[in-house]
Amino acid sequence: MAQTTASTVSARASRAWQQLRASIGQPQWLDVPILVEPISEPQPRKIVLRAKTEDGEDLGPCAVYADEWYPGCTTPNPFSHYFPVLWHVLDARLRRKEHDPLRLQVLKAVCAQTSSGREQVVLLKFIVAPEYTVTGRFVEDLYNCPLKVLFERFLGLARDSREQPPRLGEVRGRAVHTGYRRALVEYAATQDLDRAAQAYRAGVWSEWTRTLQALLATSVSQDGGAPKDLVESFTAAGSILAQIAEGDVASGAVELYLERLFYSATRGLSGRADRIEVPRDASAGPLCIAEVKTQSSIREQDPVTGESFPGGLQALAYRELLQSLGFTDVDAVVELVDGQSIVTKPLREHPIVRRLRLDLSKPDERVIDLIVQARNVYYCVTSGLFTGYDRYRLDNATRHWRLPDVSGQFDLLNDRPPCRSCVARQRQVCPSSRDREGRTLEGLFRYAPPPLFSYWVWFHRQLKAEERAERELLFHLVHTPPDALEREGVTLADLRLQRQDGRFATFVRPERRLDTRIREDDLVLVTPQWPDGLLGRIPRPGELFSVQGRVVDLQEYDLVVELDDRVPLAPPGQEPTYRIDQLTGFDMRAWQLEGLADFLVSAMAATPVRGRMLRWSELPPLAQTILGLREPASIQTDTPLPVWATSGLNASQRDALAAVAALAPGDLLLVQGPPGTGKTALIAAMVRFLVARALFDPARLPERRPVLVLTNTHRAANEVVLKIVEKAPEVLPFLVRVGNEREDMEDAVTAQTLPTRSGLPPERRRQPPDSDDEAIAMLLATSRRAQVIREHAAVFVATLGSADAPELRGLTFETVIVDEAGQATEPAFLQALRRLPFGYRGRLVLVGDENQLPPVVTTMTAPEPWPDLERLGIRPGDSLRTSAFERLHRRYPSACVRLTEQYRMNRPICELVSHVFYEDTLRPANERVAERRLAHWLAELGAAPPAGLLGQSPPVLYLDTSDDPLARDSGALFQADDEGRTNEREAELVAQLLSEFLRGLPERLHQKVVEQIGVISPYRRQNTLLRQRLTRAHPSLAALRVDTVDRFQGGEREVIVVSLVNSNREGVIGSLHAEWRRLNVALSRARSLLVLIGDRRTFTAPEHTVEEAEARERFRRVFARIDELARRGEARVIPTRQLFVPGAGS
Amino acid sequence: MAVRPVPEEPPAIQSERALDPTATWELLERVSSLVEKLRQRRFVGEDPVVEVPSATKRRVSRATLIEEAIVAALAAERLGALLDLNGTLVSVAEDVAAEELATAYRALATWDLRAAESALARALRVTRFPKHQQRIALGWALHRLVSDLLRLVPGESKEKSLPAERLVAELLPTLDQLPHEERAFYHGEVRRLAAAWREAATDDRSWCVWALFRARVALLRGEGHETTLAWLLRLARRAGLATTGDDPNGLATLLRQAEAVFQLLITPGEHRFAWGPPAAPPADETAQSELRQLAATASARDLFRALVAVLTAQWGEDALAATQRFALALWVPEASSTTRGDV
Repeated sequence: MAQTTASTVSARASRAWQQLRASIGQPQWLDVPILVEPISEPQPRKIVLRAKTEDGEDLGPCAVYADEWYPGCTTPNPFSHYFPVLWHVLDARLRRKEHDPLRLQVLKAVCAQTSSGREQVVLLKFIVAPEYTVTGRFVEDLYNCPLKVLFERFLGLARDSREQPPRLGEVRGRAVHTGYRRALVEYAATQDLDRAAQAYRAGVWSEWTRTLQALLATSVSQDGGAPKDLVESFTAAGSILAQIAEGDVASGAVELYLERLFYSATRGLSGRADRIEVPRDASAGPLCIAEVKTQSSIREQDPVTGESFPGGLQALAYRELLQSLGFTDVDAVVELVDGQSIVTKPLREHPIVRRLRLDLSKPDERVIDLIVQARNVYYCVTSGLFTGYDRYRLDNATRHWRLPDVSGQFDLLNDRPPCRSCVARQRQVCPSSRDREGRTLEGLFRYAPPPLFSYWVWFHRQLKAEERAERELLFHLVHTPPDALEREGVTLADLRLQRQDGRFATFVRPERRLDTRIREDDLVLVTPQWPDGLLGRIPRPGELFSVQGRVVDLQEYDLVVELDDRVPLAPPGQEPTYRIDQLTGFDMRAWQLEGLADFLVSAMAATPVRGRMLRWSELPPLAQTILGLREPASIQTDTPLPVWATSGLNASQRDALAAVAALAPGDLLLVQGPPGTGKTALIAAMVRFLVARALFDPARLPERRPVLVLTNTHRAANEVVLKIVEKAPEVLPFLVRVGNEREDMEDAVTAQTLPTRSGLPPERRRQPPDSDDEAIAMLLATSRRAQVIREHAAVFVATLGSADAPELRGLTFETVIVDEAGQATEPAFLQALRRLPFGYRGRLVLVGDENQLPPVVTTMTAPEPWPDLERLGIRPGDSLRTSAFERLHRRYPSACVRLTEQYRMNRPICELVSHVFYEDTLRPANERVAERRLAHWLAELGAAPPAGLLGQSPPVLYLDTSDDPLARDSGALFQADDEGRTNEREAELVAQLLSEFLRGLPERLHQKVVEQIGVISPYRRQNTLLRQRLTRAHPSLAALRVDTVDRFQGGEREVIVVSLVNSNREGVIGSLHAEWRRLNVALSRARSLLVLIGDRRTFTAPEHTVEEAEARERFRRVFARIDELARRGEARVIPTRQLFVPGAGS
Repeated sequence: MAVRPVPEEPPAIQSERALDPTATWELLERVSSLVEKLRQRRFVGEDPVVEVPSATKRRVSRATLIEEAIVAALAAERLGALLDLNGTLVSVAEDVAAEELATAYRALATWDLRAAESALARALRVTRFPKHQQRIALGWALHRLVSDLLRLVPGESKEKSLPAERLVAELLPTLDQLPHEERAFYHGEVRRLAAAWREAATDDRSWCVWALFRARVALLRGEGHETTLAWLLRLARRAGLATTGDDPNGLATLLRQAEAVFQLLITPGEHRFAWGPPAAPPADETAQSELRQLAATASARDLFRALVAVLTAQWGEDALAATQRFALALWVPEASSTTRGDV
């Protein structure tokens, strides 16, 4: 396989160095990656480095001089960016104590002769840290305004979501764009203009109906007709179709690739061009990239003709990117959706090309200089290497929009920044903004109160580390051999396409099991593995031919992927194999960064003073509380409540509701809800009470709504809606479930989404009306309904990630309730603050449990906190995995109401959980719950408990594998945190146990019984194995839910079987078990019967690390309490040595 | 003429004897090393206070302690950091900040935007006093105002009033550390300047005062010969001053010389601009030569002086003094309310 791995690129680098030394004084184009380490501290005009190949072969010292100078150079470039960027990067790495080598893709270098006659390699042009992927759009952003990139992409500044929604112009552009794309694809496939016209209408219709923003902004124009933007997006069909009919697509000579991810490891760039046209006949012409822009885009102006056009640098970057992959003949066009037509501008005629006087028919260093400058500066600025968290440096950087310290001189930049489209101007934090007005917030960094700044830095650093890991993923996939990636569990190689049915493709690998960390719902890239005709080699992930998709089903030897586009089929004579790589979405952290930046800006903006360092005591009271500096008001549980508000609530729930009722604006309340304590029911009661109270408040502003419920997951948001449907149906007319319908939504939840309530359910959105007029009329009628519903809505339920959704724009809430607050990272939780009135004059209620699973993050290592953070309640060992709920509960124990009565577990299971995790405070809410047994459940189904281990078991059953030689785990399968361990014996025991149980029950009940059994293990790989064993043991068990602890949180079953997996002589429990809260969640899912299978000896062995000490202790307490329960006859402990062994009998 | 007595032993020699470059660099290296350490801590998000080392638990000489204290003080000064002096936090460069602020405000009053900008930046770098910080914020806003005053041509700008007027007006109430009188004073100043600019948009004479002010600033800032001449010509035209007259040192001659500079630009020739006006009939060589001679003798300063004299006579008031209406007046604290650090 033609994989560019470390050894091949190292060999190239070595050859390049030899070539350099062979031609003294002659600058040469190399394009090879090397690793460098500074030999001494960077000097103001010279950096001396030691260069190595990727393999570690020493290439000797080399230097970088300012201005691209080298000994003997007569034409230095004083505007060169290479030196200042590298200087800042090395300086910052030194300050960050990062000592691993820095990767440079050396483009141009020279072996020069110094005045003393010594030979010295001098690097002239290079890409810094090419493993950090920057998209073409970001390159364009930087080109337009480097300072905007600092504010938006480093700080994470976003629009103030309390503002009104934007107007229709943006949606029109997107609608025409979508219609155009669909029409083009249809015409390419059918050559039928009528069908293309239908596809166009469907595209425009889908865009207008997809975005709720459009629905909420659409209204009749002043003359009573439909808005111009809406009408024009449909009527544009005529001219657009005419253009399509005249284009290359009409001839069928090209193959279309739409929205394909493409990536170049040597340029550190990725892109998703709107369309790529590849000639079917390779000799027929160049491959052509089309970048489509809308009218609102920032444009480049031709200084001679005055003509302006957007997207030039992006198109140049995509062209360079494809050329670096090996596509020699590449052309590009920019298409502008302009009113009712598409204006096409070939790149060679683009203003940016004209300004530069570029000749695109031959290699031109100025093109790559321009692209690399934007890319390198983007990397330096957004990764924090330019400013670090030095508040004074940050502040100084904002004084000049071109960031002259790092970007040399961008002499091709516009002469003024495009401030109108910049959020930094809208938020009034940019001192360089041309048209500042009002109470500007200058000195955002310098004048932030120290605790607020420290808080921002602490979380920002960690989010940036996560973002960096994501940005380096593609490089890792391309640079690592597939077998190594397969060992990591992120790649599956040598797959064959078994079937492609529409969007679904089934891949198989019968000769080797699919041992992988990839699982259902993961985003993946499917890449064909035969040499491509254009590339002349096997494509790597992201090299244009990869198709993105989502895993739908994963079995032992096959998997099904739902794809964005069809995967190519192998030409005759080629081995039809594919590889699948796990892909996480870029910018996963973007909205969390936005929440964090919003907290910094909004907290400061709410103070009445400007122009000086603020004191923390001047921040809004709630901000002070969040920072851990101001004790919340004491909890009042004696507030009188109406009888209807408390019906169905237990004592601790009533206390919590009373506390909520007593909250004043700016107050915070924490509600700790251990498993099964009715958190969701309490939230439903809160919602009902708060809505009723608001109805009688004459002073309430129309844009101020009573209550917003935010959850960490869509599942939890749906559960809240379902609970309100059940417990407070009178609220439903005023309730909106934010977002579009999702496949996993129950009908009752779907009915509360705005599109459905407005009369535009998914099936109608998929089916456009037959005529434009009908479509426009329907959209207008729907939008009127949507606006009325929104106008009267009092309760919104959303996820934290969608707190900026169109339905919520322009609205603030008197009370914001955050459910699952213990599972949300602190920056994610800050989304809740964005929906409170200005100055955080609203009530905030956090419902959660820090003893259950913490937030999921990818970067496990936390930075060392500095002393300032102690004031905020941040302790050593805290990280992004420490939720705001946990920190604030620690800080303000008296601000928390704990729910103590649970409705799930029977007495013995509850006792086990309560003793180990809740200081014996948790108890069953009533006798019915306390005394519930397996027999009761089976009796409800009309069956008696069957014979066998499970059927006759007391509420807790522990199968101890300590002495079972067959029950040792597989060892770590993957080099990753979750290790991917399996335990065949445990899987077999679970399968035998459950199949025996099922066989003892009437067949008619099997489905109902299986629905109430859950199998939990922390390892994905073990779960795959469990599913396979269960299906093999009994066909009905194929439907049984087997999942990780993390995905089971919030769920419950009558019977829960927990497979602990780890069993080894070394006593390794792994990082997943080291998180002791995972054990709490696993044990507390069962109502009637809890089955635990595992090796007591492994889990109670002395700890290997400090981090797992607490987990070990909790495991010891679990086993000790099980022994005690066993002595009372409420538990049973069985060694598995002789259990279900073939030939040994049970 | 009295001769100043020369001291027997000049003080310069004394200081030369005292200066030890090695010791100086050693001290500065220690300062630099401490500065670097502090920068390192700043880079990761801290805002460290510079500690003055004490003798506690250490056996060090008094001289060493003094040296360490000096190093700490210098480092704090370099970074604008706070110094922990026996448990009290002090800002060691507030006097510098106050001086820079005074410089900046003076520069604003004389329309020297560049000097004001650098002085404000220097003051911002070192100050920790809230009052100084807010004066800097006000300084930036006033800088914007003065910049608007210079940049936007009354009556020709699409803006109906100075954009910075609102900026300053909304900023002033938020500057809680400044005395009410000071804020009120600058509020009044901003309104006065904005009103003067608005009046210039509608009133010819006011416009001429503004143009004279603009030309005066162009001269002060060395904006360029042509720029100044352009403003002065526009002023003369708007004031209805004739370019006819034979006095070789008179206004008319000076105006003709100035016009010649621009006529040369638009006269057809070898290097005529593509965007230029329609080609005029070719001028003969003599006319061209005369134009060149006139242009060569054009003097912006002479023309400015002449215009000031003529306009003074015409208006019956000192025209140069009239331009002061576009100058920012500075607040002078009452003696009784003056506190340290007031500008």
